[in-house]
Amino acid sequence: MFVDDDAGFLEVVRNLMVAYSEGLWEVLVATDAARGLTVLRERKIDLLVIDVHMPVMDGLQFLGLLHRRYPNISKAVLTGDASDPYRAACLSNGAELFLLKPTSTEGWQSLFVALNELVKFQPEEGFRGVLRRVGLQDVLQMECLARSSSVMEVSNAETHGNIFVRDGQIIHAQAGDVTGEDAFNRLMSLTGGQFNLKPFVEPPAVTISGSWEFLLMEAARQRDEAQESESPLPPWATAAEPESEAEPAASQGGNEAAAAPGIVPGMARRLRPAKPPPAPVEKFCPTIDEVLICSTQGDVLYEWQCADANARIRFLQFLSQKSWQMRQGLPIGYFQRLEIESPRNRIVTRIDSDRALFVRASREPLAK
Amino acid sequence: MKDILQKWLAERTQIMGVLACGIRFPDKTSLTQSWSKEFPPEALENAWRCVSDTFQVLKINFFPNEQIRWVYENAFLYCGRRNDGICLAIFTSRDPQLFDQETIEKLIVEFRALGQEKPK
Repeated sequence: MFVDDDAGFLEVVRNLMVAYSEGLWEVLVATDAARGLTVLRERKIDLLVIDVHMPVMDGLQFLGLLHRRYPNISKAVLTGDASDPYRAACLSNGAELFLLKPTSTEGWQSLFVALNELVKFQPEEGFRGVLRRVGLQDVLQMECLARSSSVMEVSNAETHGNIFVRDGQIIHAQAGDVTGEDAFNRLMSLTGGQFNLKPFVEPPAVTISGSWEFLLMEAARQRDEAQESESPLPPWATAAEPESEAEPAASQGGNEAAAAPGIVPGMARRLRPAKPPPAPVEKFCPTIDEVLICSTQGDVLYEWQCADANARIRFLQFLSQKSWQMRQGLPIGYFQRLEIESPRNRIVTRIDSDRALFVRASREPLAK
Repeated sequence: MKDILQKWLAERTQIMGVLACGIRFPDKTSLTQSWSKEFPPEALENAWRCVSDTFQVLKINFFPNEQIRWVYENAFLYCGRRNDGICLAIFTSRDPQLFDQETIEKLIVEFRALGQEKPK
């Protein structure tokens, strides 16, 4: 859907995009933000292209609102204002592409190619973005009910595994060295972490043959029992990473292994003695200045001394999007955190599957 | 400046543990150096664009925008930005036995100061 206050431009863009896509695209248009929102409520939209210079509602605010309400829809900005600060502001408010309005045939073709890539970009990777209050079990259930074929990649700081679903049947699971139902139950017992629904590939073996309903019920039962019992969940079933986000300012240039979460159990322990921590050169007194924790939908869960929570949330949403874009085609795994450094300040942000964290700290030299 | 940085990138970033690195200029061109076939130029080009976007967004949020580090499950991405807007990005292993964090940080300082030495 294209949202632009120039009806003539919308007519041109609609005709050209339909022509370039050879009729594969259905192009909807709206001449203002209110009409755009009405269409969004009524129709499923894959891609939103917005001119942010529109009357009544400030375009950047509109973009931010759209990003908050529809985080999973790809958004692009199509504008005549190409300044860097404006581009940054659009990207910060949820735009994935920032494009200039074309003035030539080649320009229109490039516009189509860029938008087409953006539309195609996401299904290849599978799920992206936010699933608030939707758990692993819910998604698996949906996959099975829809008789889909997919691979669900599940991980937290300690455990990494895959669940293979073929034609709605769970046929294989693997978690570390474990396979079959034990692996499935282990993955389903995780209390947090990340999951990613990927296109189906054949598993190395078929290790599960029971009905998916039974498997899910059994996993739920085992999880309930574990929670009810006095004994805590096994170490691999806890999501908490061994690092402390409350002390980011204190760990300057220290041994990374001590702070980094292990990908497999025991990895952090193996890395820890690798190198003695360097002697501190300067002595600073770290002070936490600001903390914000928000849900992935942008609701504030906790804030302390946060001067502009909305700006922080927008930044975290930008980061969530950018960190995902960044890892496309690279074997770098999941994003864990971003550390922003300056001589006197340090900001640590972290994006989890259900929440995001922002901590700003300053370093004051210790008085002699 | 591009020639200086191209030479610098080729000479100074061949360090153990560095998987790939690149420089992105404000005119949106970039230089890329990869020592791993798992880090193809197209994907790196995309990463450099993301780095540049992030520095811009840091700036408009009035956050420090000199040096950042992205921590991924399997790699670090060290980034530095010069005052003229040129950005450096270095992917390294996460294994501290394979690379020296201090060396990478010194490299970023060197990159930020390059071409800005005061005439004697």
